[in-house]
Amino acid sequence: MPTDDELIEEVRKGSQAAMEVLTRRYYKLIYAILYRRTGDPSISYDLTQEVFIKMLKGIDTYSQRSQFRTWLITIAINHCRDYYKSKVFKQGSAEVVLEDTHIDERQNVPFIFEKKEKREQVKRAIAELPEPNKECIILKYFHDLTFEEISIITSSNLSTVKSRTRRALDLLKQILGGEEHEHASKSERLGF
Amino acid sequence: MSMHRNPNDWAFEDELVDLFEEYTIEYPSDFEIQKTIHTLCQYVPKKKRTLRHSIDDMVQLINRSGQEVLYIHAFYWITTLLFFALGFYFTMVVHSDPYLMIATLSPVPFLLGLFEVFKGREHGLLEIEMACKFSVQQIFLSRLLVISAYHFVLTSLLAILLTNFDTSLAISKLLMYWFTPLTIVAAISFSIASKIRGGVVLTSLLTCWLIIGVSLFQIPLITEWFEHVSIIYYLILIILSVSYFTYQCFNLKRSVQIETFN
Repeated sequence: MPTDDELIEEVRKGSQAAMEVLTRRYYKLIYAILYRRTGDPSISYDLTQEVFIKMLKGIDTYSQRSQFRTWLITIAINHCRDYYKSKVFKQGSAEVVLEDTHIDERQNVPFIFEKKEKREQVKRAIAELPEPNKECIILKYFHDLTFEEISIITSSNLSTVKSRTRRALDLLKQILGGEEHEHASKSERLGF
Repeated sequence: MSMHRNPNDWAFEDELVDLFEEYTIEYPSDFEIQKTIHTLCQYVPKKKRTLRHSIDDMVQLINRSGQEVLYIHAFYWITTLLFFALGFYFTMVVHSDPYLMIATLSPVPFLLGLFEVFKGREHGLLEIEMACKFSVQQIFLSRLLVISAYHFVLTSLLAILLTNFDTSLAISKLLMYWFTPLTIVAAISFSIASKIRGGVVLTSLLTCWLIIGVSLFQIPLITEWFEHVSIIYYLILIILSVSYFTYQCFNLKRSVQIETFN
């Protein structure tokens, strides 16, 4: 199987086949990041396409010193930030749709409701996080990136990334009922 | 980061990670992804076409075809060979008209070969093939080259055998009867097969040709017309069919035509 760098070399030479393989290799990763940032399938679809367009336009600037995956995620994160700053977003024409359906009909109804409820709960909680914290949580916990990688992608220093992630976890704890959890654990520690 | 955290924080983090797993994603369909890829094609840096590039492409196609030979099912090689053996038998032993025999049989290897060309598409194996460096279209083209070469070898062999056993046969006429139905059927069937998925389509194309071919050549009026029509008409038909077929191959190469995935 060709490496990313081999495929990039082919794309630079004009190979559409290499572009197709490279795009398919990373499509779902980029879509997932953007979906978790925006919460909207249609916006994520458009943004994913734009990210790959940016990738192709800037392919000559990519240097092999960094990993292609990291470089591509950086483009996605920056593009998403641009989207939130854009008029389209600010004019409210692209409202976040939190109630998208994602149901597997093969499963039984109570189970579907339970799963859907949990999914919506997580989705809403993440949507409530401030943008920098949201980025850290998504990259760290949904895409298994290291703090070092996140700091490169978000152009922040390592300690900032760690504190943002910590803050995001604390916020999620509160949003998702962590307060009760903490209260219970404190009670245990105090011997109540 | 988590050096100063208490065990309850760890437990909650684990719970959170478990909960995150509930946040599943419904990805766009393969058709939608393919649409994006199609849009992206225009942003791929333009290849500077030189004679060397064209030669490289050709060499690459031939190399790939060599590899594809290994993946073509033995059933195809054997069935095609059997068809030609039957053709030879009918001409020599049953004394069927050799021209009509070659006209009926010439498109058969191509039609059988289409099963092999689009094999991955029908069995959903193309995603595996996509893991390699070549696109689906390049794989189709290499297979097309393999079946065309095999077809050429077999039909040439049949023509040589027939002219050797029956010296009264005119080689130019034999070539006309070989090329005309082949090019017409190849152009039409390739166009249909690349647009409509499914083994049924390919089977129908093969059956249709065998029924149409055999029935047409049983009608004296039609065989007489074929006998007396000017060679110019044959040539026009061949040129038109070859042009249409080549146009489709270019389309395939540009990956604009084939619906590859579900």
